[in-house]
Amino acid sequence: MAEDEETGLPNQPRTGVIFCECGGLIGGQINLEQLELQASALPGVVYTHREAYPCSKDGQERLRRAVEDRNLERVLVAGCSPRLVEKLFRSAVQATTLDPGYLLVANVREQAALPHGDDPQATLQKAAGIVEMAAARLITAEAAAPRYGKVRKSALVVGGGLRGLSVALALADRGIPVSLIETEEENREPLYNAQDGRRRLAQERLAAVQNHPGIRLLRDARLMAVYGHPGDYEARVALGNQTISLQTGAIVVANEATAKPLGSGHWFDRTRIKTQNEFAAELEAGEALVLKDVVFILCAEESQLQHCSRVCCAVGLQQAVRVKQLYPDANVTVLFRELYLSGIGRSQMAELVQARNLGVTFFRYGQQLPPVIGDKTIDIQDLLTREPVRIPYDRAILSMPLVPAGNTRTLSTLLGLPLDEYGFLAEPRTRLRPGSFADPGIYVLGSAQQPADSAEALFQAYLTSARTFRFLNQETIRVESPVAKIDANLCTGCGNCPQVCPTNAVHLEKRDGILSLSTVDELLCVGCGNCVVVCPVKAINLPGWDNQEIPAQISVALDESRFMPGQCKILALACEWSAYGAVETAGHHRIPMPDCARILRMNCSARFDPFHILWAFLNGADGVLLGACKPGECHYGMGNLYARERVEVLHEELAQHGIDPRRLRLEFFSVQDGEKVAAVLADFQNQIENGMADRGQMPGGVRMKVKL
Amino acid sequence: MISLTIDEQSIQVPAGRTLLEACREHGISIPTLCYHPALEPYGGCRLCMVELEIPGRPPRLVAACVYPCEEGLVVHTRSALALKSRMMTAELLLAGARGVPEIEQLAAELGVETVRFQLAETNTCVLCGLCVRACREIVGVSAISLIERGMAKKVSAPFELASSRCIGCGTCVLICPTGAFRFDEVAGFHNVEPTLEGYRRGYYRASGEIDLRPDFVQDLPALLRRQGQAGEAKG
Repeated sequence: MAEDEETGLPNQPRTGVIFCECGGLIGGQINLEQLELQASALPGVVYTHREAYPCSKDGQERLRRAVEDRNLERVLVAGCSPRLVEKLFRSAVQATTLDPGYLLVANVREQAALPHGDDPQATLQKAAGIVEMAAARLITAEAAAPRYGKVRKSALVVGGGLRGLSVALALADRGIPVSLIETEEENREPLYNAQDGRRRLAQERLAAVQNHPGIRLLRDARLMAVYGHPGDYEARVALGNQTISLQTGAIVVANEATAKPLGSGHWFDRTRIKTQNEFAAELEAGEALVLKDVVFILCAEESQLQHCSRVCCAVGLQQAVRVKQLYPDANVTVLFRELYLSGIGRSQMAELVQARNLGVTFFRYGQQLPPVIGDKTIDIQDLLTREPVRIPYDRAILSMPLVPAGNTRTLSTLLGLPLDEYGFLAEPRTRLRPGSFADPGIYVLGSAQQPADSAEALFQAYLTSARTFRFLNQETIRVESPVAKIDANLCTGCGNCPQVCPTNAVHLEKRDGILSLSTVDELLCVGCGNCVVVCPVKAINLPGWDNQEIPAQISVALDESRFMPGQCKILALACEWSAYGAVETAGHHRIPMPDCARILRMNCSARFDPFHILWAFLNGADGVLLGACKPGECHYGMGNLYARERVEVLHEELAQHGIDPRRLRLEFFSVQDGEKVAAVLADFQNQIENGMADRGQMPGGVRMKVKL
Repeated sequence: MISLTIDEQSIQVPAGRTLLEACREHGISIPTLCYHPALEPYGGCRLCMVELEIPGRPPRLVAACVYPCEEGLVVHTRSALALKSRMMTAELLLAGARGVPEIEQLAAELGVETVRFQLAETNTCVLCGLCVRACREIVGVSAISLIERGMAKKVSAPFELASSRCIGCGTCVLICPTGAFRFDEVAGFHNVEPTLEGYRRGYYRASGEIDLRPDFVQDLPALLRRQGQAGEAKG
């Protein structure tokens, strides 16, 4: 930005504003002539133009010509939803001198023309406010340039069970070099499922892996650290006494779940009470056993009531049949709560029939009354007859739940994958921004995620290998989201930002002197802005959603001249994935909304900075509404929960400083909640106008200690 | 440039434009439902039918959104034939989606007063395909598609399960002209609900106390500089 010679102030960039009439849909409701006149007076605006359909091919052509003829540096299109047409206009100016990032679409159709069409003056005021906000953003914001990353054509598979081996083989067969890490504590022979051919299959796969030239098998290895970003990771692997470094494009986590051992709570005779694993080994050993009364207890652990391990019923059934075949005289009883038989086809059903035909007795027990194991007998209440039953036993086999492998927690920390309440790896972050199709090169499958039987395991393995292959097959990754930039001169190395980053994109690095320095991995950063909020010295910038353009927009939005005298002023900070979408949905369906609300589009609720909220109050806002995604639906992980925490703290602080905390309100929306957002805004307006004495008040020069 | 006649008005358009684009450019309004400027034309709703006058042949109805402009074409957008066709389409739409304000308004604009068809059940989705195409062309993920055929046709994610390809951007909801689109059916968010336990583990740790004075931030570089100078002076 050059400086003006006379005033010394920076020259405003040459801005063009295009007004869309939308074939009368906007033009019929808003006095566009007046709006154009007002817009031409905005700083930097050198060109305004009004037309019926700027989005038509001819309209795009005219836009391109205007940019070139008038040498425009910024373009604002006042039309409909940016979500739908921004990409279109940006591609239209692709070939010109204008950086497509400096083209913005302001939505005057869904926010002004459609919902407030009946009051021309208010509609015009609101539309003018929207245009001015967008212009303020255009002038102050910096466009984010897309980043490109190369994809390294190799994969790292963690876990040497059936799944890991299958994934490794499938990838290696397609020409991808694979390193396979088999963790120390991993149970290579997947336990008790000896009957269904799984062990044989796993052994065959293992032999194939060992002989495959494209697979490097690292036995008894441990993943120590992972650096880098999708497409180019560096993994440090501990191998015996040494640590080696592996360069890889994608990481597949496929470690197997293990059966929980019998805890110390089971004090009784361990020669007669076994887990399914132990009993399988016993049967395997081939020695003649003395078995007279065998009782299988399925769902022996209380946690299995909520979290089914999905294989133990089938295994119990197989073992029951096996016992009956080997020892026809033994009394075999199966105590179950629910039978879950998930096998492919009807094979497990057939097994159930076979067990019945062989004379296995089944008792169903209720959730409230689990079997009580005594010294020589087991007591249950039969659910069918409601009669107590006492069963003698000389072998009781308990099915224990599958629990995550021991290294799951470590992997969760290393790879930044959340754990669910049972300790399995939860769904990896599937919600990225559109435009940035960089799926993180981390894939999780199988028992790392949830227990599954062999058939499911193989299905998952092939699915995952196909996905991984597709990811690795692209030449470059393109990421278009905004990216955080850290000012090394300001960073104090406090360590706040790495803690809140949803994608582990921020790391602390050493630098000379006592302070360490945060650095951002540009390809991992999804641009949520959480780090910007928690940075105590405001050393982090997020172009597009920075501490410059957002306060500038807030000041413009709350400008006195854009409101009727005495009208209440509401500023809504709206996450573009939820509340902003909901506002547009409401407008689209012409649901009336209070015209005193100004909607500020934000990237994520994690970016709702207390600083901005206070700035809004300082600028005379009567109420600030924060619109976030519903809990669990945040695109950036947990931005909405951070927002909730911050609002709770801020409420207390506001109350302490004599400001009615009700003036700050956080609501959760989904995109389709058009009616809800209209109702919330109306209710908020009503509340402010009728119930708050201190509206518009903000003690001057307040210096607040705000806990973020 | 191609010259053609639309509604007795002779106009010139660059090659490659469709009739609808030419009409809009010259202020001739044609009702549309499945058309969106940011998407490839689809020709699905048949509301934009216009009449082509071909000498020596009976008139022909074409969909303006997909029919390209041709040299010497004579087009009537408001002929009796075209209007009758649109009215019929609107009537059928209304029969299927009775009570949807957008469709009722559209039908009223086209002069449909009575609906002669009775359907056992009505559906707010009119199968315009905007959501499916927006998902493919604007967002680029193709999480939803039109499934089944005939009366059973509907918009759904593959196998009618919440799609893992869906990024939950909401473009489909935004573009839906009738408000039929239910987001949860497609997106089916499967992120874990974060818990207090997660908070303790530091998933969303809040930072310490900071001073929010704006001047504090501005002071810091100066402060650092001063410290640096002091250090140099000492050194």
